[in-house]
Amino acid sequence: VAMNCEWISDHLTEVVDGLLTPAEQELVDAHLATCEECSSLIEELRADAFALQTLGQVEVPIDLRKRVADAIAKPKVTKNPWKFFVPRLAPVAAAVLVSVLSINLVPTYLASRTKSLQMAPEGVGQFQTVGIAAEPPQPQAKSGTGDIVVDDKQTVESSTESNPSMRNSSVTFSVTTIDGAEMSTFGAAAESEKPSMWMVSSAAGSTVFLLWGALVYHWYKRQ
Amino acid sequence: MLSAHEDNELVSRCLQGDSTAFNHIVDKYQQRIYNIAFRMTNNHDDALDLAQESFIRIYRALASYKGESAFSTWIHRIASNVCLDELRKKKRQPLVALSTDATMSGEEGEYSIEFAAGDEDTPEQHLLRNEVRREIALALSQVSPEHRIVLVLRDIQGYSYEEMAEIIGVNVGTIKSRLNRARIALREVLRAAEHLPKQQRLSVQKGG
Repeated sequence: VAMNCEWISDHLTEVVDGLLTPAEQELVDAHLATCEECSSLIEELRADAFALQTLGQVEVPIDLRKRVADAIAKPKVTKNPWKFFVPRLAPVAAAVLVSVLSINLVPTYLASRTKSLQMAPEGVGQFQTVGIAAEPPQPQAKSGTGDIVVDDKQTVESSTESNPSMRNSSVTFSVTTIDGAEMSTFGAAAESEKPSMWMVSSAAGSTVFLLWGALVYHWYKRQ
Repeated sequence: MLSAHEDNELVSRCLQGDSTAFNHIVDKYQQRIYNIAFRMTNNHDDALDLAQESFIRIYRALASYKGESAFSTWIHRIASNVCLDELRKKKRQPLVALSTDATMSGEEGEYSIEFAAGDEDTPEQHLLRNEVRREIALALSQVSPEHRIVLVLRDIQGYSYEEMAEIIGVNVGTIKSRLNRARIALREVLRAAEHLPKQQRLSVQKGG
């Protein structure tokens, strides 16, 4: 080994800690005996290391153990965004989706239905249906046997009356039988499908969803 | 290796849901973890927070401890990382935050950095020793966290280069060269302090 200042400065910590092989130690001692610069540096570094050692150990605060025990007894806060958001947002997202779809699609469907139901003159045992292409068959009443044959479309129509989004439309359907003659009354009063109404509703729905989303996000951030 | 065997048994008891087993782990290691945190922050409040955070992270990571290194080494690695991460975060803040606990009052100074009691010192030796300790503790808080951690682990906690290499996750050669630079960095802080009068020196280092 070529013992010089460079070697010393590359092996400072081993020189300070006295972790050299006996052969190296001998060469280092020889160099330090002749090199004032290296020997004073090593002396200072040894004093620093010794001073650090004298700092010793401090006492642990007594509440560390309790603080750790309390912290791990608490349920873990999940930081996985999927685990946090999906259960909180999924039901709301589903509800908003269904309501947006229903207020946008059902009225269109109903409006097309009510247009097809012509007002049947009272006392006449027949009514005409004006079919619209691709529409299911309209309710039909047959005369002659005293029966009214209706298909299950009536149930669909009567259920639409309870649809709150159809507040300004009403579909009434009544069949009365007088002396074997069918008297059918169809009231089809769709005031109008107001598109602005549905846009307002879906905008309101989306706003509620976004506000809830913001609230959940804030909640997540705080954890 | 009774200690390592005991550690592994405590870990498996924790994983089986034995809540008292982790208390034993805390009891066994809190002295070492707290002292590292205290020397890294030079402040009891921060040290308590960091030691607590270290144990919580250790607890949560228990299932991922596979025994590839000694449990003691693994614990120290987590604690060192917790301290280094926190200090890197604090880097942007003024250094005074690190030594708020180091309050001085009067000529002799009531100094809250704690020192191990010297054995049978004369009063003069005691004062001199405290003076040296005070200065070295302050100087330690002035070097970079990367240099501080190797000085703390080596000179204060007394780990070997090999143990330090495992704790820090680098090879022994890197530990030696980092220690070389850390010792020089500490020396430079002390040398700069020696050029200042005593009172001014302490108040400057305090962050003024």
